[in-house]
Amino acid sequence: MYNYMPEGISAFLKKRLDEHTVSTIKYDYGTVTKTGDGVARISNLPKCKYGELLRFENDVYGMALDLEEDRIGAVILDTSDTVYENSTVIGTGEVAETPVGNSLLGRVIDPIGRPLDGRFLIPEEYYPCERHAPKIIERRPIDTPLQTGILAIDSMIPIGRGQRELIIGDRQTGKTSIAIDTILNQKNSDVICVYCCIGQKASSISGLVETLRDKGALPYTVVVAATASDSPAMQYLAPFTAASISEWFMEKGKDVLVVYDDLSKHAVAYRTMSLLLMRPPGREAYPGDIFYLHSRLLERSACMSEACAGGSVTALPIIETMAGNISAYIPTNVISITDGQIYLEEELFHSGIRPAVNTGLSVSRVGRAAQCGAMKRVSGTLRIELSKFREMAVFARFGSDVDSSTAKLLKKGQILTELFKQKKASPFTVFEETVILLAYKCDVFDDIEIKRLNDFTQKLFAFLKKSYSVLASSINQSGDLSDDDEAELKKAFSIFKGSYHE
Amino acid sequence: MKIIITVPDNSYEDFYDDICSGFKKKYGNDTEFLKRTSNSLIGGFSAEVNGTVYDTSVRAKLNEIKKAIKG
Repeated sequence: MYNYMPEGISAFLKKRLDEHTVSTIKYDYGTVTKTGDGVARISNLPKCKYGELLRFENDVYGMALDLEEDRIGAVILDTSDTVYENSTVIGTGEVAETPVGNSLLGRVIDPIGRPLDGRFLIPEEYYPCERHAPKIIERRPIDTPLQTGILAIDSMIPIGRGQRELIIGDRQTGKTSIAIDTILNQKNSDVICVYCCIGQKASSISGLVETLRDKGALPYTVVVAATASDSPAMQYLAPFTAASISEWFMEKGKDVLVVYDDLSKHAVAYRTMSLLLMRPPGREAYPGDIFYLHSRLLERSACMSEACAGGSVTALPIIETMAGNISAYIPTNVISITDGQIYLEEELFHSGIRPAVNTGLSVSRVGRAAQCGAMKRVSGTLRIELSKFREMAVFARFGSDVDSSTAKLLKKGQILTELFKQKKASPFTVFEETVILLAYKCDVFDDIEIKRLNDFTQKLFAFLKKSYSVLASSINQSGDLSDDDEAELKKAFSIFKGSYHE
Repeated sequence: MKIIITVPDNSYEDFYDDICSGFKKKYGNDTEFLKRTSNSLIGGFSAEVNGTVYDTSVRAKLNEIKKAIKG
């Protein structure tokens, strides 16, 4: 029986203090022989392992990346101006870790898990930033679509849960917008989102977090931010931290979408680190293991088998090209690693076609396996039609006479191009996408002026949501379009068209 | 032999002298001591001897607890 009176508590504490023995913790230590530019050379730390966290004086942490016979090369994770030559370094015996768990949802953290949003974080668990990718036996083929809410992508370049789809294009072509719209579209689904910013301006990240908050997407999103002012080591760690956070949810059976924005800056940060660590430079001064850096990161995206909880991690890495050059070193590397790419073209963007998806160079290698039934049924030969239109449109520019079939192809192409234009942060539901494409297939838009198409589709949506709400929710939920549904929609189109003309 | 002793702050003079005399007993009178202060220790001391740190600080204890909580 415990005595909870003050004298009882005092006696208990006194007894515990008498019993207390001073225990000593022993570590190996080394000495900083050289420091500068965010890296440090260390001597006398023989038991140090690759990737181990090192503690410098003043509680500054670094990571051991170069292990040589008589010295260690480490990158400093925090501000490096407090690390001095001849100061002591202790090997912590731990590798870089990140907090994981549900408590991270709605939070903004840095690559080593420190909250950046001014609130306290109570982590459920810690995962190492670098982990092995799931084994072959643990995976299953990709068969479930991940709806982006962007008509051009869902219809022609479908993304599946567990796929790695690259978003590539020049600066200011809408790459981040596609990723953000995809996150916003997961609002009423069960998908958890992780957004990893690498080397971006702090003001851009702040704006992005505000957008997510305003649109109600922050509660199911984790933002991992390494800004342009963070050390190259922090920028290097950021996507690995995001991958570990995603894997925790995946192992709990959840579907996760992770956006790496962007891997070009990640490659540049790694190049900086490698050059400072005196590693030999290769093509474009990148180190020899730059391919492995991205392949081991993206290989961690997977669609797990039912025996392994059945979760998935879908990755949307972003790569910024220079003057549309997709054959540069890093773009070709990441193109070859991923399961397809969405190529955004500056010319299309400036001509008002947004999202500026170039359908000729964009591809999804998972293909129709990752498309819902309704989309499969209505999207048919859109890519070919659009390619033919763009080819023909070049000749039509010269003002030459065209035959009736070419004129029809051009008209249909113009309609399709206009239908694919979509405002930022306004994703379509499966039902809306199905309606647009079915109406296009049934030539509903053929006698509508191009400039009135947007108005027509908006009014059509409003009419269908009012009069066919049961059908709309059924298609949204099942993602399928039966023969009866199609017939009902066709009937609805003719009713609406009559009233629209009136 | 050179031993670096870190204590939380300069108010620990007696404590520092006790530590030095303890090490002198173990390693002999020609041992050289270098004193450092670091508030991050909170309490206790750490000593660097021949490539090994002997850490009895509160910070080290807290780190051990943190490790144990992480699992």
